[in-house]
Amino acid sequence: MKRESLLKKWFPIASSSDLVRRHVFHAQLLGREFAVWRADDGNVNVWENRCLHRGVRLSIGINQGSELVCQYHGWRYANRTAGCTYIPAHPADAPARTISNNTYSAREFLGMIWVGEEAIDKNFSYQELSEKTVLRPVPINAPMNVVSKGLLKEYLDQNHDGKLLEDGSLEVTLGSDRKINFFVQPQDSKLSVVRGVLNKNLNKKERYIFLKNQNFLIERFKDRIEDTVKNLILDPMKPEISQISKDISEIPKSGAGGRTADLRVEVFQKALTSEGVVSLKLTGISGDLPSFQPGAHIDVHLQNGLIRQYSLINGPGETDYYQIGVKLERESKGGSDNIHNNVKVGDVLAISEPRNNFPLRRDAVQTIFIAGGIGITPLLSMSQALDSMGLNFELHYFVQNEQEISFKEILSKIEKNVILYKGLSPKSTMTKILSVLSSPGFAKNLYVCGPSPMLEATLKLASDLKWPDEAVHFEYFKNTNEIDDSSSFEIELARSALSLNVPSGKSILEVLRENGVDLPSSCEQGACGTCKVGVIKGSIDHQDVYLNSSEKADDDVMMTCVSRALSDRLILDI
Amino acid sequence: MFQTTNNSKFVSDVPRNNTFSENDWHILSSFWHPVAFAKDIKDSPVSAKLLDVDLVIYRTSKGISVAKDICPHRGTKLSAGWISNDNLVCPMHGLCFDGGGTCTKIPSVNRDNVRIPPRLRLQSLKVEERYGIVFTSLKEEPIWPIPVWPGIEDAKNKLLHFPTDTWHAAASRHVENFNDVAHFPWVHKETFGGYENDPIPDYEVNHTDYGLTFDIPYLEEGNRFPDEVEGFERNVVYTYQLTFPFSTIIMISPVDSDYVQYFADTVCPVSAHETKIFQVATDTTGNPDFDTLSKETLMINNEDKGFVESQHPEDLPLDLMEEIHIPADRMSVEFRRTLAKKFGLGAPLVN
Repeated sequence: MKRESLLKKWFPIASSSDLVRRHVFHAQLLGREFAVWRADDGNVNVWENRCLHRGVRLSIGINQGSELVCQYHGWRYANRTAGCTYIPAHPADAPARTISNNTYSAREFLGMIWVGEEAIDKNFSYQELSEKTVLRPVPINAPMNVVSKGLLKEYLDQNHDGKLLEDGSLEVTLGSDRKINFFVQPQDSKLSVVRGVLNKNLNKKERYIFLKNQNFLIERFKDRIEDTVKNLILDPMKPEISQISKDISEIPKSGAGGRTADLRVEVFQKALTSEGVVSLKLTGISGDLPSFQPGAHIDVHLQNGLIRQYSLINGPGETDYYQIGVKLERESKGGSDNIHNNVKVGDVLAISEPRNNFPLRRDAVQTIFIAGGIGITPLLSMSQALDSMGLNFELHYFVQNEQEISFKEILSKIEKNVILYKGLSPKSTMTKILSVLSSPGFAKNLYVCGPSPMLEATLKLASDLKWPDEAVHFEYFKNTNEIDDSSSFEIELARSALSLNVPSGKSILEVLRENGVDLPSSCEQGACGTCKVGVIKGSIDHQDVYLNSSEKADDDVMMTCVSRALSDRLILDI
Repeated sequence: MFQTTNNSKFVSDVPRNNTFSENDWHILSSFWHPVAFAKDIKDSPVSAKLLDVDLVIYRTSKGISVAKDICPHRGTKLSAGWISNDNLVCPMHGLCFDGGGTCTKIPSVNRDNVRIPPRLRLQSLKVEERYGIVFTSLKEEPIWPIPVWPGIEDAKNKLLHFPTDTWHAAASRHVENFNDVAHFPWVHKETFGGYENDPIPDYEVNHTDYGLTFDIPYLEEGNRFPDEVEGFERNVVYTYQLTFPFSTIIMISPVDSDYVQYFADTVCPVSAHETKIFQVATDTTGNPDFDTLSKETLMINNEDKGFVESQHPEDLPLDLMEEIHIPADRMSVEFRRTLAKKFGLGAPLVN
């Protein structure tokens, strides 16, 4: 029995009933181990049973409903994609790279979970039965082919009709309308599991007698066949352990990190969620979407050529679709207007992979979210993540009126943590925020997202109340500062030994691009943090709204799209 | 049934059931490795295994000796014998060997002053007894020194030797686990723990003459130090010094006192996936309490054991592309890189 010849075939590896809520099941097929777990949304995950970090079995991990947590260092992996969403050793950093454990596509049919290491979906030929009774799986210490042939003989000897089907499974006829299909799962070269299913629902009494009889027959067969092969020595199968890609095997450098391939998504739902705000749900054209961290955003490439950033609203593990909320801006330059008026269900859009410039720490004793209007979007994703982990948070949501409340269905899931404020004047808004922020404390974290005036007033308040900078996190929609690009200066690129002149009227980013140095960028107005580079020497004229004041004071990173030099010369770490 | 007639058993040092790659075996056999605690070698021979080679350890008036566990006469295991008249006696024909491995008596030869052939001697190995641990090397000239452990080498301090244990895991996997801080809050919940949410700060790993070193601050949950400082948690600094290939000392210094605990771990690669652990500790009191510290140590080891035995591939991947590394893994990455680059371990098999 050659391992290679069986990799493309589908085999059952677990019973549906093995996947108890919040449990991780250890399965094996052709020598390869799998961690099999059902998420709370019903999705069955079949992953290689090995955390890519240090090789510990994931079957000893914890199923938290939408994420699986490795017990060794607490890394969290998302439902469906197995993408890493959180590394506790580095809580303030969003994992800079897409780290994903190896996943296998799985099917649930006939009360069993089916997998093939290299099987493709269209080869799956099993039909669900309208009526069925699933037999208890029986492990047998014998090779698969010995078990299939022997089991057939066992039933033939009992005067039942039976045959080996083309796919290697067994069909046994017990009477005019009763048929059992047996599937033999090759766990390893000399270990198989017999899994059977009868094409009938049975009442309690019939069921008891039927299962008892079949169990007796298979157990007797097991003893007999194990005896005949007891002297057979076979080497265990050795599945290859695949390498990971080069860029994720190295320790990440801080700083740059560009976007890679664009994704194609289809709009499958578009609905008005509140006055002037549409909710879009997007599915991947080719299956599941990459995993994301709470707070992440995507770039949406619109049909009119514009690129806009929108935060994902999704809760943890929701990688079967992305959801965004788009507010129609009164002074729309064509972005939100295009989405509201032109994009329709069925349209295909190009989007970037999710990127996170607004990472959520999951280590706070208490997390306070303050949202103004459409600023609710990233905070919804964060709230759901903390909620799923049972961590303490408050979501303070400021809106003009009842009609402005967006995403009520998500808010209702976290109802007990939401405090709504309707129709407050700017002044009384700040009075409320003052009382919310009044007691900064050890291990409290604050996240703010909303219109610039509210955001700035809140940040100032936090600073006056002595909230430490590193506990205050914010995301601007845009930079409303007036950019002063009148200075001119030299830049020197430390890693490429290039010196360039930045004239007034041009940004560092533009000058770099003109000279063939392509840096990732997104908003190009100092708000998103994408074009951040390290600064080795020189004094920086920070004009962005991405860095906080202590990061600005450190003078060692800058946003190349808007910030400039105070000194004659800057040495950049690129 | 029969060996060929060409003395094949003397052709190679590599043992018959070698579980290492031949390249790795030759490299690892040129280091010192621990094989026993000296206190456990009393008045009868003890068997041990190092790199799949069976060894006998015995004590005579000259001290502790280590030899391959095979009688040169008929291949019997000498560890099944006994000590008599300051000699190791083979249980099969009673041949006697002194501490240097020389045969001193063949009882079946009924003559005085018989000339014993010089080839009739044990394959004795180099032995060093240090810190109460018996170190040996399968090669005549070990290429790397025995670890020098601050605090523990100080004769004033009482040394504690903890009960040994065997892990079904590669020695290198054990060493990486011993040098990893990021797993503390996850794995050591029932002992000194720490907080799952505390980040691991950036740290630097430096190369030394003997291996690698780094230090890192950490907040421990609970208070396990006998320095009379009160508190339910303690800020400490861990200083690690690794001596290639498999020895590490960790110096644990609470920041608010002068107390330092010196905890050393050195392991014997019994076979590729079997590792025997030797741990020695002392502290700045000079007189640490055995009961308290050994109970804690055994609990900590048991917390680790299940995880390290669960890691696969069982062999440590020296190709950095086989696992994922984050900044907290700087030490592990440097360890892997150096084992491969400096010593040539994990080289691809030559066909």
